[in-house]
Amino acid sequence: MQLVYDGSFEGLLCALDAACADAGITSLAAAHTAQPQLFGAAREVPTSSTRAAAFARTLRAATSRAVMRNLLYNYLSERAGFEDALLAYVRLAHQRGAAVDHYHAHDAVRAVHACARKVGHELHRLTGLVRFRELHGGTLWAPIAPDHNVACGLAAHFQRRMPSCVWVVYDVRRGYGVRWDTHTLSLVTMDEELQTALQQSQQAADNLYTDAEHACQRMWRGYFESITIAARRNPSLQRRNMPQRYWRYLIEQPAARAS
Amino acid sequence: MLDVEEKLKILSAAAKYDASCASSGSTRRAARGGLGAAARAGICHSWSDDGRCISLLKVLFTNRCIYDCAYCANRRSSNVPRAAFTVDEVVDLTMAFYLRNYIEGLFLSSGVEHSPDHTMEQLVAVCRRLREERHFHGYIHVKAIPGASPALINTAGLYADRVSVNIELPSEQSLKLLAPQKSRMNVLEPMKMIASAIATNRDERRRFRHAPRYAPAGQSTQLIVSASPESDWQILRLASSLYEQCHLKRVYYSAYIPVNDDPRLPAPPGPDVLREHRLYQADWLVRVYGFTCAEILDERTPQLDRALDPKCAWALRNLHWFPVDVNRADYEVLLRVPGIGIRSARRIVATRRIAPLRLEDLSKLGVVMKRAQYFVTCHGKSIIPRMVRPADLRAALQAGEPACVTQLDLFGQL
Repeated sequence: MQLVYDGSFEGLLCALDAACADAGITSLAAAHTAQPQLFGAAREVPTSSTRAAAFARTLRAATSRAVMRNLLYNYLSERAGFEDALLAYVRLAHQRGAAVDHYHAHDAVRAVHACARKVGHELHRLTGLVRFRELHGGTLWAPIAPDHNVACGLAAHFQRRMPSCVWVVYDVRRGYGVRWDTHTLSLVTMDEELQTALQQSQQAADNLYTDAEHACQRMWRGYFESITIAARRNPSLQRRNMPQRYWRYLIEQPAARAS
Repeated sequence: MLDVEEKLKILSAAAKYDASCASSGSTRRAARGGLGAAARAGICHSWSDDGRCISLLKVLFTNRCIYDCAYCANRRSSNVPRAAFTVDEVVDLTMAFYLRNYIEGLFLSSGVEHSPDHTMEQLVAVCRRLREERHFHGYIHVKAIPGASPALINTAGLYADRVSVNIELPSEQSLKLLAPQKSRMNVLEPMKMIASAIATNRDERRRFRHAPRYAPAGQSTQLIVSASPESDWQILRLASSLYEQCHLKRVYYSAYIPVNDDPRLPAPPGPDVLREHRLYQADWLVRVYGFTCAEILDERTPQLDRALDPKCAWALRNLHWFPVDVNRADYEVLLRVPGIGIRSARRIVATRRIAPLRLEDLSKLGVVMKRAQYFVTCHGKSIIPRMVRPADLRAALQAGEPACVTQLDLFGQL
């Protein structure tokens, strides 16, 4: 039988809790992705914060921080059908505790690890590739369009790093951002009109920036060019380290963009 | 008078031959009201068109220099535009770039203007202002200028995460020929001093948790290869002695790029990046994989194999080590198998505690079977029939190398 949860992380935890108690559950799916089952039935799991918290507490006590991180990162990956490997992983974790992470040859464990590594890798990569722009009024604004849902992870990074600035990390693809006002983090969304305007014209975006910002961007582009050793040009290496899908929201212009 | 933007262009172009851009090895946290943190693993912020990572704002304080080193783009007799920052300009640039997350910190080096002491004072002034007045907690890598007073270099170490002195050339003779105003002593002295300061500091920190940190990310150095006639063996021996004696974090190798016309220098068509790559591979074997320099190269084979990576080459010369049973071999032995790296060796050790490994599991653990298949067994089974002749083995391993490498080798033989 398939369990259907509401798509939230808490919902996922509740579904995992229910599935661990019932060996008849063979798969999990979020409500917005669930396909009608050809054979066998589907059942919905109600989401409850207390149940989710209790499940997380028990699992954490029985395993390790790494297991909990794998769980969260798999959820953030938003990969289609990630739940099934995760279910097998959590069932194994209940039996084996923290040692579940040593089952490197186990297919479900491998899938969960690979998925978590992808998310962790993108998160780490973006801690470097995020570019803040200074808006009139002093807010620093950084648009991103990551493959996985990592905006909150990035916010935690910048909260440690830039505690006395006001900044927003904005996920353009998912239509939400995280704002830090020097005291607390909050989720924000951008006005649709503004967003379309920004997407359509460079001019609209440029008008938002301070003069100091424009000067700084110019200097960074100049720096990016002059730091290159022409005799060692290697665009494929550049693309391998910094895939093209991340170039859109950079300030600098990798040369291969022109060609 | 140049504006900051032009200065930045000149002085970053002048600094681009410094290979190090590491921002790892240090942990700092932003204090209230301060800016920046340092991540232990380091963070790359961009990759330039040559594929090298950009993690630090890498600039010279000035490219005016009293020295006339043959290999250097900024030598006194070279005809390049000259510029010098002021302390405030470097500080403001660093803060502005850092705030926008362009960089992880500052890499500050300099040509020697007036005297080593004068130059070093400027570098220290930048670090001091960043740390004390602007409360900057990002990463700072500062060059110690050979010949500067020990007191100044010491102060720099208290502000910076990493201090480094470039050894420039692999031997005293080459240094004498190409950089007559510099001497080996001048470089080794500060290096040893920094090493002992780091060791003392580590000891202090063990006893007093709040003792100020001295260059927590250690020191590194850089040398130019293919500008002088030294063999790979000499270079690697030098590097491993530096790792042993001065506890360097890294030795960087930079393939010589002709920037000046000078009869004392070779004129290759381009940088020998393959040699550089092989040296880095050998360097990792020494620094991380537990090999000794003598195992990789010796007097009779002074050059690294261009067509084969140094670990495979070592394995071919030491076939009596193999095959290795992945279910029994120690971690250190696993690390010596071509195709098994740190990560896969760790996974093997962790996984076999649970259940014996099978051959088909190995690639799931990240072992590169293309190379490892010739060297491992599992319960006495191996993938390929036993007793491959060394010559055939060599050909098979070489076939697995990327095409460009074998092509380059062909050209080398012509």
